[in-house]
Amino acid sequence: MKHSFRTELSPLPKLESRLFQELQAAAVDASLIIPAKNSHQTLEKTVQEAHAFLKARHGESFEIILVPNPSPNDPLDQSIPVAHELATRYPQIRVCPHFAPRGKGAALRTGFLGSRGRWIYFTDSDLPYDLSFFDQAEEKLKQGYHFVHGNRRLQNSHFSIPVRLLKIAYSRHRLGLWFNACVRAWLPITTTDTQAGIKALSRTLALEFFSRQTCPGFLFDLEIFLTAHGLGLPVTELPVTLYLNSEKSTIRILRECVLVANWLARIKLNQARKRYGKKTKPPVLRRFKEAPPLTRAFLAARWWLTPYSRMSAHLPLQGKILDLGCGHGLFSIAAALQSQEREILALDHDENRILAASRATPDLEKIRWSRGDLLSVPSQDPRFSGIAMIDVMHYFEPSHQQELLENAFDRLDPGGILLVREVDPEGGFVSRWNRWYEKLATGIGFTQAKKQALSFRSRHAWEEVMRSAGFQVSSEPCSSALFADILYVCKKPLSEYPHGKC
Amino acid sequence: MESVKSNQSRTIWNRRLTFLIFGLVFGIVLPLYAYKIYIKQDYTDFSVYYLAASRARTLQWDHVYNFLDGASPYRYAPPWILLFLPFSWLTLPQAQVAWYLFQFFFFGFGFYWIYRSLKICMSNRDPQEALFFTCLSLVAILRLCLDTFTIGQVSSLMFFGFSVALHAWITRKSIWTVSALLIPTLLKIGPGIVLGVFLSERTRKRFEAGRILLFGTLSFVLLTWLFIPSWDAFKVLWKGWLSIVQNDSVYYDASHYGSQSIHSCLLRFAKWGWLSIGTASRIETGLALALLGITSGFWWLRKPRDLAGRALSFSLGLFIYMLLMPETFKYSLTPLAIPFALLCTTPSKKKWVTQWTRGSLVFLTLTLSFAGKDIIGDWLFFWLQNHSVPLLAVTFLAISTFLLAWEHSAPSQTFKRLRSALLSSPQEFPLWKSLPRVDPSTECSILAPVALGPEYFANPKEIIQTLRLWHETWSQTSPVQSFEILVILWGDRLSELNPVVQALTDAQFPASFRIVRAHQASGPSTALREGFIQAQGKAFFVANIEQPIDPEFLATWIAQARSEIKNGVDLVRGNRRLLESHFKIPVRFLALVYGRHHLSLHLNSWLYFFLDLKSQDSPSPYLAFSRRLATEAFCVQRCKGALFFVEMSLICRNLGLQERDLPISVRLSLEKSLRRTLWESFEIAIDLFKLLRRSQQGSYLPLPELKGITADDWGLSPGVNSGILQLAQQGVIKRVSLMANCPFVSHQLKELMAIPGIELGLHFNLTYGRSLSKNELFIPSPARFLFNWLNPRSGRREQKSDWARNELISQLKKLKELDVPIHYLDGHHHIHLTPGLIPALSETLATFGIRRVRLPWDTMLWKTSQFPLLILSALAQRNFRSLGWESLPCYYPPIRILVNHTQFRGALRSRLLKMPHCEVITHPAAWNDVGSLEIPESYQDGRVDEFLSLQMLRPNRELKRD
Repeated sequence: MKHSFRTELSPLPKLESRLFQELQAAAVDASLIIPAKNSHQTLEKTVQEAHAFLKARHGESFEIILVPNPSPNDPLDQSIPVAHELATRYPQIRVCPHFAPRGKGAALRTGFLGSRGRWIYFTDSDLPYDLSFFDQAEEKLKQGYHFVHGNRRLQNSHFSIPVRLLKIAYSRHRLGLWFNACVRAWLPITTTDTQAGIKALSRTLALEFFSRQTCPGFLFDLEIFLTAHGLGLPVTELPVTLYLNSEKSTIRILRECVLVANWLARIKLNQARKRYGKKTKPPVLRRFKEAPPLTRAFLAARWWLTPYSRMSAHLPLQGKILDLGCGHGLFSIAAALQSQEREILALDHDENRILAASRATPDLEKIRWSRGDLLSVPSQDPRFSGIAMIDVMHYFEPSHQQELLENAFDRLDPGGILLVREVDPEGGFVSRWNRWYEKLATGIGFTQAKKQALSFRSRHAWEEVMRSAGFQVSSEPCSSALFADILYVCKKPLSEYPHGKC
Repeated sequence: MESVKSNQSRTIWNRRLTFLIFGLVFGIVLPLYAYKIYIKQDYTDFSVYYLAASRARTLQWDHVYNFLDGASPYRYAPPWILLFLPFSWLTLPQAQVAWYLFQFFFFGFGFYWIYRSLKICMSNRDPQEALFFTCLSLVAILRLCLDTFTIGQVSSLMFFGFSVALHAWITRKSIWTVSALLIPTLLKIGPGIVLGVFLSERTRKRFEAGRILLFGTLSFVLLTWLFIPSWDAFKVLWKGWLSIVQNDSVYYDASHYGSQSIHSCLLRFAKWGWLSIGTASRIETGLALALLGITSGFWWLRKPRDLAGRALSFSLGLFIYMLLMPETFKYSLTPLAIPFALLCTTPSKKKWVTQWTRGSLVFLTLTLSFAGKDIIGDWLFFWLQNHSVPLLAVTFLAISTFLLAWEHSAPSQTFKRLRSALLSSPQEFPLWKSLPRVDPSTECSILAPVALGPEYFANPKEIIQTLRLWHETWSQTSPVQSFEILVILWGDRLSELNPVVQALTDAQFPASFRIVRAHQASGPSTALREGFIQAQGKAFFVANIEQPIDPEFLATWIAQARSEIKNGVDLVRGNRRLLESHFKIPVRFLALVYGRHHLSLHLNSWLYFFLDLKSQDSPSPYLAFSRRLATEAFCVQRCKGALFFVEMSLICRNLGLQERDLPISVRLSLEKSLRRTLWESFEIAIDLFKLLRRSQQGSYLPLPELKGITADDWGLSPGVNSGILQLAQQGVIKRVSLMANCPFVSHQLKELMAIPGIELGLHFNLTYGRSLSKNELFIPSPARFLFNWLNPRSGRREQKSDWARNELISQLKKLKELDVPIHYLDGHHHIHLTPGLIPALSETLATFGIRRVRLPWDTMLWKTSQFPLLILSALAQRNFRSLGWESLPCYYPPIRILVNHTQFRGALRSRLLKMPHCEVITHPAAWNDVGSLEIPESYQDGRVDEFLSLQMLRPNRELKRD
């Protein structure tokens, strides 16, 4: 206990280490690091399941790093011999025992030092999470994300709990929510669950993180988030299924709560000292310093009322992106800042807005601003990996909307994403206000549309028309409380002509 | 041809009258009143508004609200000053004329919206009629409008708001309805009561209306900032307004003859010394509460059937406002034009309602519309006003509106659910038409109740997916013939039935698959009952369609439950509270599941305490039970919802059957709406109370041995004979009374006599059919027979006794001829109890060796229309004793108890426990052919119900044999 309070991990001289360079050269696809403390009874089953899972996906190109870290005060903990015995049975298993300093974070760093994978996976030794998380995580990592973490608070996350643990699971859940609220208030972290025991990192981020890590205990997760944030690396989260079969005692939780205050203060101090890196690019709104005050006010309101970053996270991190009806380009800028590997073509028919946007982004060379619409894009241009039509479609007649969707389908790569955001006309009073605002803005000429009669569709109708264009559609509410917008994420199937399109 | 002509001439007259009224309003009223108002020098309400606005213009905020301003100071909320502010720049005469023109056009636009509303309500009629009736309503309130012009009140604005709101309400534009109603509401607060009409709307609309109301009110308050310079002025203005509102009774006399509200009327009564002020106040409070309760109840529990009903429902709120205001002067009654026009145009199917409505309209026209001093003279005018006759006219109109609104509305869904929860109707648990049959080849019936309605999750794809999973899991271990799937569709929205049925039909399940449409079911458990009646399996599994199933768990559950049932367990329950049970839930439901888990544990601990049930999870989502338990449980079922499974547990325990709890794995993907949860909780609370009462009454306990159920009227018809024979063969009936003089007495008699242990008796008859001894006394009416018997003019008593004796001998001989051993005697229509007849029969009965005679002494008869029987029994009792006749204690269940099988069973059980040899008098018939006889019998329909109810006593007997 005392040890955890005082011990701080020393920075790792990553780039000078020869060991790292050698490891990089001999990389495998994935390294799954499993810290094992007093878990010799479940370790064999865990290894069997994890091995089968990874072998089915990566063949021989993976490794499982077991990090037994028994407590010196617990002679009954047989994790080390069990781990060694398993290593003799499975060639992909490596054992990196860890003794000091105590803590899960420190044990993981020891495991990482022995790893060779392109992607670094963590999970707990009793496999409380469904391993299928790593399938989705791998997909995200391939798309360019550097950090994929499980989030138990997401809508689609599931708990599988025996009745006897219902009460304790609920208490932990409440405590977790409270803890995360504190974390969000204290640190520049936005997720609602930092502590889920299943995560996947790119090797780049892992190197950066472990070289900066200070916390040996369970709050090391916060440092991963801060490192990713500080370096501007894309992060995403996935829902998880949590299987709870045992739970820590309340006394242990209380003891850990005492640790939290200490480590939160230290991490905050480190963050203030820029230990986890610092974003160098200016924020989106500061780019429009030269714009007139009214435009700046409008853009500020729009930025705070619209989750641009959340929306752009749905687009592929690489490839050509088309932002149709980009306006002042807030979405395009957010998308460009999210990933440097996106090439963005931003179109709008309002020349003034295009001019303002191009003045705001002299440093973002991968955004090309242009006046025009989808039909003005030369057909010989390569296909796009993503197309965004944010708050645009209602300016077109229904038949034209369908035509636009079909065009977008044709211009997308297989697997490409079309993002559409529209007002939900069945959203009650907020929706009425929303539509009234659009009509007013169009009527007074603030929004320049070719046709002033706006065409709205219900959520169901949009999904229908998008499906009929050949897309696989999912939708979610996507606005502040003052508006009733729905974001439609339309994926073009990998097969060119899916059922229904031909 | 004539009707076409009359229609044409009516249309022409309508047009002429319409033009006349238009001419009157625009050609005469408009210029005449403009001049009249211009030259008006004395006090008007508008002069006060003008004064207030002038003070606001000169920043005298302290004096805007001033009690010293004439008879009635300015009393509208501060933002309304904005309305009068532009007038303050004109001179008073100019401002008065300008305000008059405003009023004129507010009324004009108001009538325009009334016309539009009528046109919509009368969609299938000539629009000219709508115009005509609008003009008629204008004439009806013209005097009130003129009064408004003279006094300069804001009623025109309120009228405009009400009319626009009416149109918006009819066209279902809730935002416009609330916005328009905000005008009168923000002026006088009281009209806000009309917003209560949203009680008849769906919850979503109610919330929408609430939001608009809040938004509108806040915006209105903020409007004050448009013309005030400081926070201090804001405070002063609003404080002044509050002070005026709180002390409104200071500046006017509500007992003034001109005011026609309930409050004013009661004050006048108090002035005359009829009431004390305190009593008047209490009466007013009581009336206000009653009127508000009735109107709110109407809005909440009735749903308009058509647009006219919708408009009338809206109008009810106007009456509440007009009647309950502290003072209702003529100008406040201008909204009467709305109900007036609606009552003129809305037809009624009931003649008396039409007459009442016409009468009310005429009475209102005479006492309010035309009763001005200039027409009827001062004396009559003041007499009418002082005696609140216009108030009476408004009340009559309100009653007419209510009656028509009632006729043009139907019970709402809320009402139906409330009625269903509070009153357990026998129609919801109908008697079984035939006893459930079992097919030996079907091992199991899977019962899947599917609720159709807005609050349920009846997605055809998911239903099919779940059923397919059940099908596949079951068919992995057993042949397809060994089970059947019954999908029982029930719920509020049978309009959704067809797509679901189509999807299920298209799914083509290989196993025996049936769709049962449970039209009468009002809960999942009543749906199960209807499914059970049609099911043929030896055991039953309940499939929960609403939530997903874990395929692995389903296989385990089926295997374990089947094994338990094969081993003789009758009730296998999936118990969510067992420590081994699992929840797989989305994280968003965690708090909910945890809360419910706790609540359920508490609920079950109460159940354990009150009902001595040991399971911790009685309303379980997974359930399997044997046929013998199902037969018994569905027979006495009275709970429509989740508590049926508690009933089942009770029956299981009371009959000594085995039950077992198994751990389960529960998946949740959807959550019930708050509304549904509240309803279900309410229903559970009511059901629980009823369940406890029935449990205490012993309705769920097994019946003692049935020794004395007696069936009367054998021989009346083949239907009666067949019903009695079936029940006797089933062992339910042990005694049969034969009507010897009836033509069907020998029909199936041999089969009846072949039943071992059956006792037969004579059902002595002097009141039905034909006499065997050609007896003159024979009259086919018990009342007339009794009158004849007691009437000395109809013959000597000895002579009548001889006739009766001869008839008895003939009937007894007839039975002897048929080899019927006669054990006892009773009478058709209990004729044997006729005073004076008993001694005449005693000798003959002794000759035939009959010593047992029925004495129907059942004190419960006091509560029924058959109470005279008790008097006759009391009189006969002494004779019976003196003659040494025996009689058994008697139970004579009325038909209302017999059709409610659970109640009948409980009552029968308590009687049999007290008196094991009690004689139970019944009149069963397998089918109703009594009405088609040559001489129809008065008691017809109930016979079949008696048969069905008695037939349902059989399962209990079978259970014992098991």
